[in-house]
Amino acid sequence: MAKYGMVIDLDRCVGCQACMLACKAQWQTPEDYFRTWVKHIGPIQHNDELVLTSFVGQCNHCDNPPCVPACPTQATFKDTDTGIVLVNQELCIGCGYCVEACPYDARFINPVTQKVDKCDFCFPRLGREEPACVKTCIVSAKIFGDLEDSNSDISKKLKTGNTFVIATKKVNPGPNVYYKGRRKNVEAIIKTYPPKKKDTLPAKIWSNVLRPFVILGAGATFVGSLIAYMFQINQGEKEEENEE
Amino acid sequence: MRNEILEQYLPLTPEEKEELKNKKIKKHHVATVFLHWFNLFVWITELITGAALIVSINYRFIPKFLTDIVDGVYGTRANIIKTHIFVGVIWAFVLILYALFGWRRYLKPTLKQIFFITKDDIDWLKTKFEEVALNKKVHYPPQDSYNGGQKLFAQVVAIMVPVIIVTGFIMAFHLLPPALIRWAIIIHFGAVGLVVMGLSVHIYMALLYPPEQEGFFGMITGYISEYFAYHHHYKFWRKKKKGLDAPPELEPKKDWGPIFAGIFLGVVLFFSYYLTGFGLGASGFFQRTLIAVLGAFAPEAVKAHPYMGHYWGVYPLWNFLVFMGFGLVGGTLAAMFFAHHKFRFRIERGKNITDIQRLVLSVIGGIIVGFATRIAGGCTSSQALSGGAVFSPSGWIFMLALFAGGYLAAFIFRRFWK
Repeated sequence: MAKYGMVIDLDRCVGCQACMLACKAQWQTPEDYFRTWVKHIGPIQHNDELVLTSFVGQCNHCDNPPCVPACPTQATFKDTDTGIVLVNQELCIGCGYCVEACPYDARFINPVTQKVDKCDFCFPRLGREEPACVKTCIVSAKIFGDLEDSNSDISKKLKTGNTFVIATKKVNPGPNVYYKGRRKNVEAIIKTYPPKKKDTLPAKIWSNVLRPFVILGAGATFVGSLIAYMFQINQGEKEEENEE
Repeated sequence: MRNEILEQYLPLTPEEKEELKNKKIKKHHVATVFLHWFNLFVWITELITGAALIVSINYRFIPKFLTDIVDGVYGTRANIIKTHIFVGVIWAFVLILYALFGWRRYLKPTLKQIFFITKDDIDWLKTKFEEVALNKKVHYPPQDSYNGGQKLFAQVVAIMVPVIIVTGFIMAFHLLPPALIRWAIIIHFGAVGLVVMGLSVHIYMALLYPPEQEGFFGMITGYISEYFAYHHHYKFWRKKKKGLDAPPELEPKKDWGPIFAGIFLGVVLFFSYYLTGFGLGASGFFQRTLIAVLGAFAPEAVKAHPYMGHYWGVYPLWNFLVFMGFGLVGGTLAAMFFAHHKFRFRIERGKNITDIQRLVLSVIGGIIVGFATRIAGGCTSSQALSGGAVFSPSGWIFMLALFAGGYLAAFIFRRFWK
């Protein structure tokens, strides 16, 4: 058992976007699609302070990922051994309910495979190498490791304090990607790219209208037929008689 | 029997009743019967696999232990998806064939009837309600070959099945952008739900409700007794007896010219290349089946054989050419189904030879051709058709040689066919 997470040191990050390219080179995502991203923020004014920082984002591998219940076939699931949120490509039907449900816009539908794609902490490299973005970072701003292992680099880094997650009171799915740095920078990121609680209209209709409708409707006719059959047995089954 | 045509059916005398009970009347064509039981198989498979695919707590509608059973049966959920799509595509294909070829004969008259609601149909529903809910003794109004309740269910099915097929294809093959696939999923689900609501009544009526028992067997044999028709489908019985509104007898259709076979073959070939990247081929099926059968008995010998060893892999039958062999079966079935007036099993031969001689000659010819296809690297299908279609020189040479050889052989053996 392990619980993998990441710390992104905003004080070290220079916003060079090498992680984006390393990820793209590793996973060959199509043009304009990225599993991880660096979005430059600022210079802007935030609480009378000047903010100039970068939002280094990716899948947060949340404790309560909203994408998992949104997926009809359970193609998206939280791996119990690693805590990594994975997508089983064989089960994915490319409907994108999860894409819509993710508060961080970390998912996209790969136009080539027509299935969902996102950061999986370089799952196939796990145990051999660090994720591509971590390995390539020129200033070691990204630290990857097991959050449950108190001797891991990431746990040590977290103990130094000043770590935040991208979450608000309203939307907090329990992200496992931490941001280290000055509070104003993280606040500016949350303000600029706030996590959104989203439910698509079809998903809402499905779970709140169609599902009860079909269960009740099919159940009603089934029970009705059953009752009719009971009556029929009760009255004694007889061949059709003359209807005179 | 009464001579006048009655608007309402009257009680029968015991003699009339006996007479009607012994007469049979045709209710369903064999194609409809076949389609019905095919539908049953498809619906069972698709309902089970479909329900087992919706496992998220947000949308799940059957208990987990049931979906776990299906998971166990299919091994992985990926297999469930594959099965669901595969059976669904075959179902759609069969229904489309039925609609195309049976439009004039089966589908159009049926649709016309089920969407043409008369006062009798409404009255039937009222009467049924009175009987079931109020426990009244009732007399049903005269009905068409589908009664009011059957029409209602048939309408739901007739509208929902195309919806299910279209949304299913959209989902399975990503025919629309994801934003619309999300809608296709719930429409698919809702449409199936509507049909399922009627399905339990349908099954109860057919299997367990004694007065409809004969209707159930009618769906197996295609025939019901006149007595049953008189009571349950009076309008239908009247039309049959009196020839009223009887569908016009279809003139025997003219055969299509052979040019159409060529055109359709070209279309199939085009889609074969377009969809699979391969052309058509028939002889590979026999070759690979032979190798697989030989390999089952003597794998070492097959592996060591200079020619057959080349094709001996882990799965010698796992090849598109083998699946094309099923086309032979499909083609035979299609001929039996659509050209049944011409289809028969017989040995075609000329007058000058016996059946045995004809078969011996066929086998000899088959051996020569079979051997030659392996040298040429393909038979008429793969060399002349598929090769010719992509302007392969060998394909064109093969085709010319084939016709030259054919004319020569026909000239030599012409007296057998006199």
